[in-house]
Amino acid sequence: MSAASWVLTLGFLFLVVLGVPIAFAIGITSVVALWMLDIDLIVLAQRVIAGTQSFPLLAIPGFILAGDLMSSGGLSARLMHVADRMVRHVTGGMGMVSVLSSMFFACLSGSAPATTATIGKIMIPEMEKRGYSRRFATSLAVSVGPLGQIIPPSIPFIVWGVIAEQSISKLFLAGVIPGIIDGLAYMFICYWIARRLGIGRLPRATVNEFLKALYDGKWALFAPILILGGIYGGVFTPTEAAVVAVVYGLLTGLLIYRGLKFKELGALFLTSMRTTAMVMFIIGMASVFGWLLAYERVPDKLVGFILSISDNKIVILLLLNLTLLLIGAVMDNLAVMVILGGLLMKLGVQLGIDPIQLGPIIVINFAVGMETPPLGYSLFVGSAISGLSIEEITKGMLPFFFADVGMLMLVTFVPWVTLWLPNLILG
Amino acid sequence: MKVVCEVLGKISTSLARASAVIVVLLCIGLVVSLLTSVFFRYVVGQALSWPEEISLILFTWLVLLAGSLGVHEKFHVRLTIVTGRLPRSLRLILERLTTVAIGAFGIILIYSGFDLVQRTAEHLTPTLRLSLDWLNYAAPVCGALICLHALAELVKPGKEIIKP
Repeated sequence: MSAASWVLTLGFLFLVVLGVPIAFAIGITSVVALWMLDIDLIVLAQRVIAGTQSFPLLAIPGFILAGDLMSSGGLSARLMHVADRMVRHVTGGMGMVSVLSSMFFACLSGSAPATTATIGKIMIPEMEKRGYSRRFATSLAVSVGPLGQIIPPSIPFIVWGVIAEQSISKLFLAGVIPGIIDGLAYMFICYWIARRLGIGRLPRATVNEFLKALYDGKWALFAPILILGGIYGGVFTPTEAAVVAVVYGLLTGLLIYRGLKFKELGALFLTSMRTTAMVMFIIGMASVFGWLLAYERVPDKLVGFILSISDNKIVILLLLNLTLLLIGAVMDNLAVMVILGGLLMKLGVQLGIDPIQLGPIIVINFAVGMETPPLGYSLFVGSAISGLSIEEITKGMLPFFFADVGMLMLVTFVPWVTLWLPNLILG
Repeated sequence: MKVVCEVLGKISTSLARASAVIVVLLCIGLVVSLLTSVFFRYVVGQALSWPEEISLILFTWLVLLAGSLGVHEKFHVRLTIVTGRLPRSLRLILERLTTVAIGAFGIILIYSGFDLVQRTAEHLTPTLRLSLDWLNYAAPVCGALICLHALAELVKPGKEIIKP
C-alpha cells in the first residue's frame, strides 16, 4: 500500500477515534491524500458537489421529511393503535406491539434512527409500565430501528441503487421478505422473554375496538399504499413518491389528525433538513474519499486479496458478512457504501451474485450496524430516550442480534428470500 | 480577546440563523419544484425537464449550507466513546485541535471551490442554460461558513466548550 492509502485508512480511523466528526474525518484525510498524491485540489469541491448531484438521492430529504411529518402529525400513533389491537393479548404482546408498529412505520420511513425514535418515545414507557425492564424495552426499540431501512422505503437502498446503478424499486422489494422474517423473529423473542419473566397478558381487543382503530387509522394505513403502490404501479419514481408522501403527511397532519401546527412547520422542516445534512454531508465527503481509493486502485487490490483467501464461495460470503458487520459497527453505513461501492460490486460479479441480492446483503449488514456499538445511530437514539448507557443497552440486544445474524444468513445463502418478490412484481 | 470572542460569536450565530432560514426556504423550494414536475407529468400530461435541474441546484445548496450549520450547532455525528473517558484537560485539547482541523478544512474548501468556480465559469447547465456559478458557488460559501463557525468556536473560553 502507498503512503496515501495508509492515510486514507489508518489516518482516518485515528481521527474518528479522537472524536473528529465523521464527515470531517473523511474530508480531512481526503485532502491530505490529495496533497500527498499531488492531485489538483479542485477535485475536493468537484466531488463534494457531484456527490449531491443525483436525482434519485432527492428521495432522501423527501422520505426524512415525510417520516417526521407523519410522526408529528399523528399518523404513527394511529398505526400503533392498530398494532396494539392486533397482538396485545398474546404473551409478550406489548413487545410485539413495538415490533409490529415499527414494521408499519417502516412502510412510511426509510431511516433506522427515526424508527427507533418514533417507537421508543412511546413504547419504552408503555413497556416499563407493563413490567418489562427498561433495558429490554430500550434494546427492543433499538433493534426494531433497522427494520425501518430494511422494509421499503429505505434510505440505504436508495443510495445503493444510485451507486450500483440498479433499480431502486426492485431493491426496495428485495427488502420486504427479510424485513418480515426479522420482525417475526423479534416477536418470537418477545414471547420467549415475557414467558420467562412471567409477564401477564392484556385482555384481547374486541372486534369493535379493532374496527374502530382501523377506521381511525385509515388515513395512516393508506399512506404506505399510496407511497409503495405508487412506485410499484409504475406511477411514481421513488423521488416522486417521496414528495407525494410529504404532501400527504402535511395534509393529513394539518387537516385530519391535526397533530401538526402551521406555525411549527418551519422548525419541523429545519429538523428534517438537519438530519438530511448529517446524512448527505457525509455522502458528499465520502465521494471524494471513494474517488481517491479508486484512483489508488485499492478496490482491485482488495478484491484480488479477498478472492485469494479461499476458492470456496461459502467461505468468501461468510467472510464478506463478517467484514460488513464489523465495518458497519465502526463506520457510518452510507459513507462505507459510497467508499467501498466499487469494490463490493466487483466482488459480487466475481462471485456471481445477482445485483438485486447483493444490495440487500450489504444494506442489511449495515442496517444491523445501526444497532451495534461503538457507532450505531439507533443505539444513540435509544440511549438518549431511555437514559441508559450504550453498554447497558448492548447487553440487552444480544438475542435480537442473533436473530439478525440468522436472517442475514438466509439473505446471503437463499437467493429466493430477496429475489422472489422483485421478480414476481417487476419481472 | 473577550471582545473578539463576543463579536465573532455574534457573527457566527447570526450567520447560522440566516443559514437556517435559507435552508427551510430551499427545502420548500425543493418540494414545490418536485411537485410541479409530478403535477405536469401526471395531471397535465407533459414532462418538464427544468424542475430536475432546479431541484438538484437547490439540493446541493441545502446540503452544504445545512452542513455548515452543523459546525455551529455541532450536530455532525462523532464518536465519543473513547474521548468521553479522557480527563477534561485532554478532552479540551482534542476539542481545540478538532476545531482547528475543521477550520483548516473550511479554508481548503474555499480555495478548491473558487478554483472550481473560475474554471467552470463559461459552462452552462443543459436545460435552463444557467451559468454553473449558480451551483458551484455553494462550495466556497460552505467553506467560508465552516471556517467562520470554527473560528468563533476556537476563541471561546475553555469553560464554554466543556463544562468543568
